[in-house]
This record gives sequence, structure tokens and C-alpha cells, in this order.
Amino acid sequence: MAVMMGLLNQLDLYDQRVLDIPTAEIETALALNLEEHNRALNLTLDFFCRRTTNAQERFKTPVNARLQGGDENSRADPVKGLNQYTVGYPLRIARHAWGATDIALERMTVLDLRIEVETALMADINWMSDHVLAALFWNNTTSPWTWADPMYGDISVYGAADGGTTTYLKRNVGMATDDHVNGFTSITTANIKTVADDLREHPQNSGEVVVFFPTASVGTVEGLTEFIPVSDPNLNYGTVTTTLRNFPAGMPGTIFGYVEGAKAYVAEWPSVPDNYLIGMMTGGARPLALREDPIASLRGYREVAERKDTPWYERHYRRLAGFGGSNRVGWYVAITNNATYSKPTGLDASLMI
Amino acid sequence: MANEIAVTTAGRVHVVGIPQVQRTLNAAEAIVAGAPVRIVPSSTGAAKFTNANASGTLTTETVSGEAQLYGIATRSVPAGQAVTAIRKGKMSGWTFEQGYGEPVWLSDTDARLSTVAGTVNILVGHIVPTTANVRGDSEDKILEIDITGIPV
Repeated sequence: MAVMMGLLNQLDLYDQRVLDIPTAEIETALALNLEEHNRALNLTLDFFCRRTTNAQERFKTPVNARLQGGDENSRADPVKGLNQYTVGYPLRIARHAWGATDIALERMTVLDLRIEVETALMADINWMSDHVLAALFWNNTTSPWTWADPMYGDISVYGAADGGTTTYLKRNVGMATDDHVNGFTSITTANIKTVADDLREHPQNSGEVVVFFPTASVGTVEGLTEFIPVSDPNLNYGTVTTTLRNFPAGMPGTIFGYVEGAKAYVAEWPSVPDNYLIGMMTGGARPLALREDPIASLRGYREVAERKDTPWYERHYRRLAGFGGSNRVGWYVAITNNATYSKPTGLDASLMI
Repeated sequence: MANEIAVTTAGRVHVVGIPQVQRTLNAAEAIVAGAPVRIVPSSTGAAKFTNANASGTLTTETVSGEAQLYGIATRSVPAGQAVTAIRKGKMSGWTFEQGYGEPVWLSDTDARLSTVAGTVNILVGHIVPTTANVRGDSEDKILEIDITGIPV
């Protein structure tokens, strides 16, 4: 069970009827849990996304400039120090509800209520997680997908840099096209290094490289010759055993090691589909943007309504959110059992509701 | 029997959301959860729910109108206890072999639903998907009931 807040986490109250507890205390507990859910989820989302209320915008980076040599009479020519490309984001509406009869409400215990609330929070986590992953795994091929926005018309939503005509700033190269969507036939140190190098070469990315793997791939990664495991606090290591001492935090999944040849941390994130990987850096411009509504009361995961039509009762929740590529060289995705990339089953951003 | 739609767990069907039309009556005979039921029009058992089937002729005057479907029973009861039937709304709890959007009919077999129309074509509703499933799971099939009682 998830860690809940307030009286929903008090085991001694689990057998008590909800209606025996003052309504204000119940509503406070429900509000507290929603608030904590939004806070905790936002922390994870902040690793992948920056927030925007724009449907469409331009992602801006500097260009690769160099000083213009001169003398005491010379004057530099102004340089247009701006590279930009257009990106756009959907804004989806998703809902959850639970219901009961009037008699079931009379009988409802604190444990019953906790279970309903936990299910509601889990529904939000699963939906948001799926849409983050779908945005990360989208492959434009020759075109982005189209979001039909009820206010702004058709919006193009992009994935990672895909070898198209858009150019990106690369260290020591300047502006160039790039491709951060790939197919590998297996997981090797060389492939992980490709991912890491392709991320590090862009000045808007910074920090450490982390490559996320599904649980099924952990054994393969651990078998790489240059894999360094995380120190196990329950063990005393010998003097010749190399283990990882420091690693970044604040991201989903669990870091389980480091691939020395690639200078990349590796993390197990069960949400990554089998035979895929996601590479990111811990600092710099976030890969995705999370679009939310300009109206504050339409942001976040909220409890929005009750429906009563005796004997039936429903409690409703709502989320407005959408994800799309922003820093399109800020992440890297690959299939790890095929030379040709294809999107994971069930994670086509253009087809998911 | 072929074409009949079975309740996944005997005695367990669920109402999904708030129904638009429902009625609660006494049961004239034992009724199981998920059974199509009709209102006994007169004489023994009048004004009570009893099991329905599509094998009879549709009349408004005689008890042989077994196909005068009212709704779907929400729970199992013996004769003499109250049971609510949903005439318009959504319910879950059957194992549907058909695809999403396909019709569900009143069966010629008493108290059963069917994938095909019975002797009297009484449409119960359609199979609709829900989207509350986690990634990788197929959408659940629930029954969207919209009974008019008029043969199609």
C-alpha cells in the first residue's frame, strides 16, 4: 500500500465507520492526501518536464559563435545568437470516479475509504506515467503527430530529434541535425556510450547521464564488463572491489550501477517497456514540457464533484495535462533488440487517451 | 448452450455509475444476478419480476409475453425478496466473447442473455469498452443497457 496521510494512515481507525468521524476531518484527510499526491508526483515530473500553459512555443538555444579577430579599429558584426524550433503540446482531459450505494456509504470504514482514495491516486500516477513515456518514445519519422486543440486548432507534437531537418547546437561542431531515436540489437557498453555521448554533446544538457532500463534488462547491464554496482549497505567490500559510492537522486526508478566506459549511471525503472531504454541527463533544459491550463483551478489532480442520486453516490476526480518534446536533444530512446526502432506497444502518443 | 452469455462469477454483477432507469419489485420466482427479467402482468405473481426469455410472442395482454423484457437483475434473490432491475444504464460482470460495440440480445433460454437475437428480437444493449485499464491490458467490456422492449 502507498503511504497515505492523516487519518487514512491510522491503522487503529481502519475498522471505524467513516460516518462516525466528523465530516470536516474526513474532508481534510482527503484534501491532504490529494495535496501530497500532487506534490510528490510533481517532484518526479520535474525530472522530465518543465511546465507551460502554452499550446505552442519556440524552443530557443544559443548558436555556436566565435570571437571575430580584429584590431583597435575593428568593430564586430552583430551575430544573431539564437537558434529556435517550434514545438507544441496537447492538453488532454482525464477523469476517475468511485461510487457506492447509500447503504455501502453507511457501512464504509476508514480502510474502505483509504482503498478508494489509493485507487484514485494510482489511476493518476498510471495515466501521467503512460503519457510521459509515450511522449518520450514518440518517433516523428517524417512528421510529428497532430493534436486537434479545441481552442488553437491543429498543434504539431514532437518527439526526440529524429534525423530531420531541424538543427541543434553541438559542442565543437555548431548547428547540425541529430538523431536521438535508435535501434540496437543488444545492450552493450558501446551502445550505452553512444547514448551518453549523444546527450553530452549538447550544451543545453548538463549534469550526469542516467540510462533507464526495464527490470528484464538489469541482468544484461550488470553483466557488462565495465559495469560498477551500487554499494550494498549490508556488505563490507574488500579492497579490490570497486563499487559506486555517489549517485544522483530525485528521479524515478532505482539506480543500480554505473557503466564506466560510457560514464553513465544505469537505473532500473519498471515502467520502461521490455527491450527499450531511455537516456537523460540530470541537469539542463528538461526534455519534455507539461502543458497545463492557464486557469489555476484546472491544474493538478483534483477532486471535482460528487453525484448523488439516491441510492447511488459517485465521487469524481479530474486532470488536465499533456506532454510533448521541448528540448528535443534532451533525451534519447532506443529499442534494444532490433536494429530498427519502433514505438512500444500501447505507447503511441497519438492514439492514447 | 451456444450463443448464451455467461455471468463470470455466479451471483455477481455490478452496476457501473448511476443508472438512468431502474425499478425495484418483489421477485415472483428465484432470480439470479444478471438475469433479464419482466414484470408479471396479471394473476399469480402480478406486479412482480420474473425471468424473461425471447421464445414467446410479444403481447401486452397475456402472460405468454415472456419477451416483455423490463431490465437486468442486479442481484440474486429467492422468490419473495426485492430485487432492482436496470432498464437503462451500465453493468459489468459477464464474459463477453463478442467484440466492442456488438449487440446483446434476450435469449430464448429463460433468464439468459445471448449473442444472437431470439425468436422475438429484443435488444438488451451493446458491449462497450471502459478505459480504466492499465497499459498492456485490454479494455474491459461492460454492458450498456438500453431496453425499449420493442422488437427490432
